[in-house]
Amino acid sequence: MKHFTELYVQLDQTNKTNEKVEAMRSYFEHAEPHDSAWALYFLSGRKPRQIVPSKLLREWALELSGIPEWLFMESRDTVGDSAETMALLLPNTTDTDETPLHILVEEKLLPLRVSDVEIQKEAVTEAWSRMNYSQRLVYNKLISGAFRVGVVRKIREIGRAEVVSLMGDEIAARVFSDLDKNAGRYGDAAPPFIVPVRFTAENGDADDLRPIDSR
Amino acid sequence: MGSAQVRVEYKGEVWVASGDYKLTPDPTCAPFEPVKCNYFITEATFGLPVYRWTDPKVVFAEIDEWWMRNRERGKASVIFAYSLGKAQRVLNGIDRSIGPIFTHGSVERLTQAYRDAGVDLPPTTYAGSVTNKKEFAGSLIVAPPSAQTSTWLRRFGEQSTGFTSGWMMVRGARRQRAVDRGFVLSDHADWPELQTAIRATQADTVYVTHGFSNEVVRWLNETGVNALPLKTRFVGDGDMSDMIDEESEQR
Repeated sequence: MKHFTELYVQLDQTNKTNEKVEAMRSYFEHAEPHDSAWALYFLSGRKPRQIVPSKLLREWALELSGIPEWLFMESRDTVGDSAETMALLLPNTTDTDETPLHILVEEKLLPLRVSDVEIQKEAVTEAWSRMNYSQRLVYNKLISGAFRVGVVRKIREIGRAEVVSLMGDEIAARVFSDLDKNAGRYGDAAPPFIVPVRFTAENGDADDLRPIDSR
Repeated sequence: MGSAQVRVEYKGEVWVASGDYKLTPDPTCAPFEPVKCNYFITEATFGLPVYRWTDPKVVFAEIDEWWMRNRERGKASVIFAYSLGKAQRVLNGIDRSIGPIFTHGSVERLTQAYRDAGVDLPPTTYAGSVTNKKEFAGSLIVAPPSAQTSTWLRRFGEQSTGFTSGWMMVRGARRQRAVDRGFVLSDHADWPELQTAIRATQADTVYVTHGFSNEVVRWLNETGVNALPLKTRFVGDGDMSDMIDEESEQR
């Protein structure tokens, strides 16, 4: 999620459309297709059904930051966003989590929805302890809310053709064909529109697993 | 230069009134000194736990990187910093080898005063004295926040804007400012610094004024420090761009 977080920070930092498009182009050029698919999924404003209830996330964040609930509420009122408030309050680290986005989502986050609370708590608090501020923010948003970085409308307006050209024809074709083929595969783990899945030998040519820079 | 405190002793009782203060080291001014007292009056501009400052070294590295990237693209980098104190802190902290530095008139005057007082600052040129506007490409321009909405900015051509303030910690405030980059650099105490400064005075009673005073009062009372809010006599007009100190009066 390192590169996806960097993309998020870049998109968030600028109000200029051409700089947002440039940041997306650079991300999609370098990301692996299955990471690209999830990045596209989140940036276009979609989100999986709540992975962990917000109330629990807040409870754990309060426990780790050592502040009472009223102070969290005051802070949230000023910040205007719960995921961001938690990211700001949690103990800081300069560590960087290197888990690829698709692994984080598919292997770490989605399975949590059906896990016991203790397992959820351990997974989430352990993840927080390994992440810097920006990563905690992105992680909290992956779990709890949609991304608002001013690209949702852009992605919808420019449509598929433009996204394809941003991602590069070959990669985009693979991502979209996989998205279409596997729609609904995750059942109710994701909404009934395009569902990105990891490229595997079962659903495509093994060559699809080649890293982009070896094309 | 730096923040000042007033200590008053009368019949064995000591009162200390702080002004705006920070504990973060700053080479352009004298450090804050805790003074033991019975009654301490503190500010609370950033009195919420979400305000925890980034190490200034990291912030200056971010500014340098931003400036270098703009310079590579032939753009001017316009950085907004309060003319007294913050502008000089920025000038002292950035990498002066990157390119030429220009200033707004109010920044130039105060920067010269700092130099005269012996503070180490890079050479700067008053932007108004420049006749060839091409000189601004790739340069750094230091201006007060009030210059953001003025036509004064047009002369610099293609540019990226940055704002230095503690408020830049929060994304909503950054967006509201409508600048390209927000840099978290404050001359006020953040949440942990407020706790440290207040406890270091060993005061029996703490009066909290300005900013999130009610929140800080409640927190102090809940954690064993007797505290009361003190109404401020300074009232902001709600428009940051016209303020004397854009940080303390936003609220």
